[in-house]
Amino acid sequence: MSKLYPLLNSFILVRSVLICLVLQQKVWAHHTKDHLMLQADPQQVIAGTQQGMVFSWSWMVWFLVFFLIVIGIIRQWKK
Amino acid sequence: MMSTDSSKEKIMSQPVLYKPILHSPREMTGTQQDLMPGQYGLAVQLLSLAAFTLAFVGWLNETWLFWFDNPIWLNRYTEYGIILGFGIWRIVAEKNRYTRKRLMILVFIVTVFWWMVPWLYPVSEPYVGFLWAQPVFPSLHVPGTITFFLILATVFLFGRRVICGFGCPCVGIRETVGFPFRKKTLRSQWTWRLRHSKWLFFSYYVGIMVVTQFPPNSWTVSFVGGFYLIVAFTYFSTFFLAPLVGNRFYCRYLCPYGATFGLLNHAGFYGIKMDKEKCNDCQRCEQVCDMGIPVWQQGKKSGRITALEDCMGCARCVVSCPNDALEIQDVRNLFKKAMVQNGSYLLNKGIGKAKTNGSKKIVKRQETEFRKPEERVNDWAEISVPNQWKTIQQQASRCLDCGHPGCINACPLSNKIPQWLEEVAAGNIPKAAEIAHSTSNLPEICGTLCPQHRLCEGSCTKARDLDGPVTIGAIERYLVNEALTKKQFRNLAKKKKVTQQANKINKQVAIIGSGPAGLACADELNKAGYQVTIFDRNSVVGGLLATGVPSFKLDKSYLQRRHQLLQQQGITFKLNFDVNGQTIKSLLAQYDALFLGTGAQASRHLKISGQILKGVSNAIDYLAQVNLSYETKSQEIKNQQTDLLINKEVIVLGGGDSAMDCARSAIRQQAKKVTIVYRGKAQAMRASPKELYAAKEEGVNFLFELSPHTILGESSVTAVVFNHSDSTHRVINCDQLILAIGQVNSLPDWLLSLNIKTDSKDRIMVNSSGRTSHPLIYAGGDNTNGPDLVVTAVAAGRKAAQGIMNDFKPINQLIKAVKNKRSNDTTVRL
Repeated sequence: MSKLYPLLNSFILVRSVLICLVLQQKVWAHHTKDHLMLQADPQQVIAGTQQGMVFSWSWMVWFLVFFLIVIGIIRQWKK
Repeated sequence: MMSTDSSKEKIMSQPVLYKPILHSPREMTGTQQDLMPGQYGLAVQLLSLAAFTLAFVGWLNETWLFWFDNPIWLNRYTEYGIILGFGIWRIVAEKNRYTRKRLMILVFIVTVFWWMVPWLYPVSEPYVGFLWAQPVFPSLHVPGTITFFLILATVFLFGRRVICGFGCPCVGIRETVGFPFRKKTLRSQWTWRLRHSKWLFFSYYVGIMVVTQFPPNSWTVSFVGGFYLIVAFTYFSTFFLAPLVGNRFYCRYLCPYGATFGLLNHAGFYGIKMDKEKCNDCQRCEQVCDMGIPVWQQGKKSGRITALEDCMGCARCVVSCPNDALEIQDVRNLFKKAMVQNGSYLLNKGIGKAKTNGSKKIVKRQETEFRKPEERVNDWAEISVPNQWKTIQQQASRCLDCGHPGCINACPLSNKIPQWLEEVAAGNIPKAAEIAHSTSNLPEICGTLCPQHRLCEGSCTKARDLDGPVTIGAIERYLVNEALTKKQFRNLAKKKKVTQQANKINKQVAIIGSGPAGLACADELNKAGYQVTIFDRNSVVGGLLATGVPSFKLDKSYLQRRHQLLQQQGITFKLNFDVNGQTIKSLLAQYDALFLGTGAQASRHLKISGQILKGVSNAIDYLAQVNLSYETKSQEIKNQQTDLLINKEVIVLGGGDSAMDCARSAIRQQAKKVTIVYRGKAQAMRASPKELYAAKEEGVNFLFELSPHTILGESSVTAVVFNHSDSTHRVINCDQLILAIGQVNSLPDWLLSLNIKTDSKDRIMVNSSGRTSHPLIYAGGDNTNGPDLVVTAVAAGRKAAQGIMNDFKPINQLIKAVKNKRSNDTTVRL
């Protein structure tokens, strides 16, 4: 077992280094920008806004979503 | 002499209404987490709050403070790291295998999809509408993204559980870090109504869905920005409300996404159905629901959970149901008609099937066994065979830990039965005994003598099932007997004594009567630091417990042990002390308060002639003679057989436990024939089923619907004439007649001299704190309630002790003094 100590020590060392490296990482979370919208200049936000995919039938998806929500409201009301 | 027609099953049988319990929610014992909200120590709660703070500061640093340059340990992702850490703790400690599985999936999804993938491998996802930033997968909450639509579709098909139950970081942090605060969940009626507040946030979210489909302007930018700010702020700030309002406050009252998914629960295929016939009303489902849904109420009313908009699909209610009465439904039920997602199904589904659940052998109620009648009628030792530890532990683990425990409600002392049953099941006897002693001063005696069949065990939810109620009485008795022999528990008692000595109050209280009420009152006062002296006219402690209960029913060493224990804890006993007019006055002068625990020790008499004949006695005198005289005699005197009833025929009148005690004592005194004659039908007898069973086994005969008319005999009783309910007469010969027809209150002369108010039945009248019309005298037990149970006497003693302590509080003493002064002044003016 004692022969394994150097290996174990080096493993602990490497693991500690890796943890330090991970903790050193600097990153901007992917949903932080939404939280910052109110702090930004509205004109800047408007300028940076992009339009997503455009489908001629995309309104149908939204219609379905709202239809289901309305059904949900009705069924909740009548429960 | 031995009865052959006795059938234990017949006497002890329970009404059969439901199927046997399918799985036991408390099957795994120990200190691990449970479905039911538990109480966590301050250290755990502080650790949780620290983790909440770190997650909150992480978000604050990235969006507002900018103290650090977004390191991974202090940014928006920090929360997910915390979920991982606490999640591992929860997974390891969680004892319900379905919840454990759900947590594993939840922690995995949060770690991988909410943290690792967007951080290490960000992928932009397609969307419909106008967004300020390119959404990175998974942008579940951003209206118009692919993830958004896909999740809505999945929720429609399978219910809100797919995201809230298995993949939401909000639930993730509240299920892991917020777990110690589950017990704080608000469950009142008005907090239930307040849940509608979430529709306000839902409306705002619907507005976001609409405006993000159009090109932005400065107004819509503020509208959308305001939404995300409010959501983030409420999300993080409600972390700190968890210690006050439970871990799901945000999900219940504020989450706009949860509200949307909740409506899809209603619109889609998701539902929770309740089989009302299977439900045994234990109400665990309500107590385990962190969203505070009145599951049982709704299920009982309509056969399904109607508040689906609030159900986040944790399925705790389903897996905690011992009878599989609840069942989750989703789109799969359309295609698989045979699929029933009840507790057993969820607990056994998938890899690593439960070893015990579902397929396990059902543990039925196991009665305490009696020694063989042939053997036990020849001695006065207790008839029950000591239980084995394994049996006790197994029986304790049968407790369901009901939402509204009937056992606690039925117990006059409100004993914390499910709590000590859990400790017994976990093998922690000293802790169990400590809990038992927190509400009862004589738990081992209550465990032995209480009519559990009409109190705790009669109200046990399992009494409705085939496998029978939990053997609460036997377990209580066992655990206290065990604990009192354990060093750990004795050390605890010593520690308490040290605390008592440190808190000594310079007030002296005299307790008159060492029955259960007196002992309970003395114990409570002594614990609070009062100097207590107990006076009793008998040479032994216990009152009627010593003189009225035979030792084959209650081992008198229990009373001796209590006597020693209370003495060790500082209570003084003055036995063989007869209270009279003189002594009571000196006691009143010497002590600050008096408690009367004198009981109701007069026998009820019949209005028929012949009661003065030799051979006629009442139950109290007969049992006192047996218990104090015969039992205490040496073997040599016993062998002289002076007190034996050899070749005598004995009639016992009555149908209660005292009648059984008299009859069984007469059997042990070697009577030729012992007959219990009862005026009513067999079903109307008040005796406990176990007493009735033991009496029948020992050879006692029973005659019903016979009322005594005349006692015949010249100098000694020779026969009794009875009226039968069919208007005929019946003469039964006997050499000994014992009247076990009840007790009444009888006021001693010295009590009358104190001018204490009593009612028409000679019961001492007391106020809500146990005080009599005399300002220094308190009373409780049979002398205030009339003849009743040991447990009610203990409760009365505890109540009076509390009353004494309250009255001696300095502020109350001051109020009393002012009142006295005023009344004196008024008297003078008058």
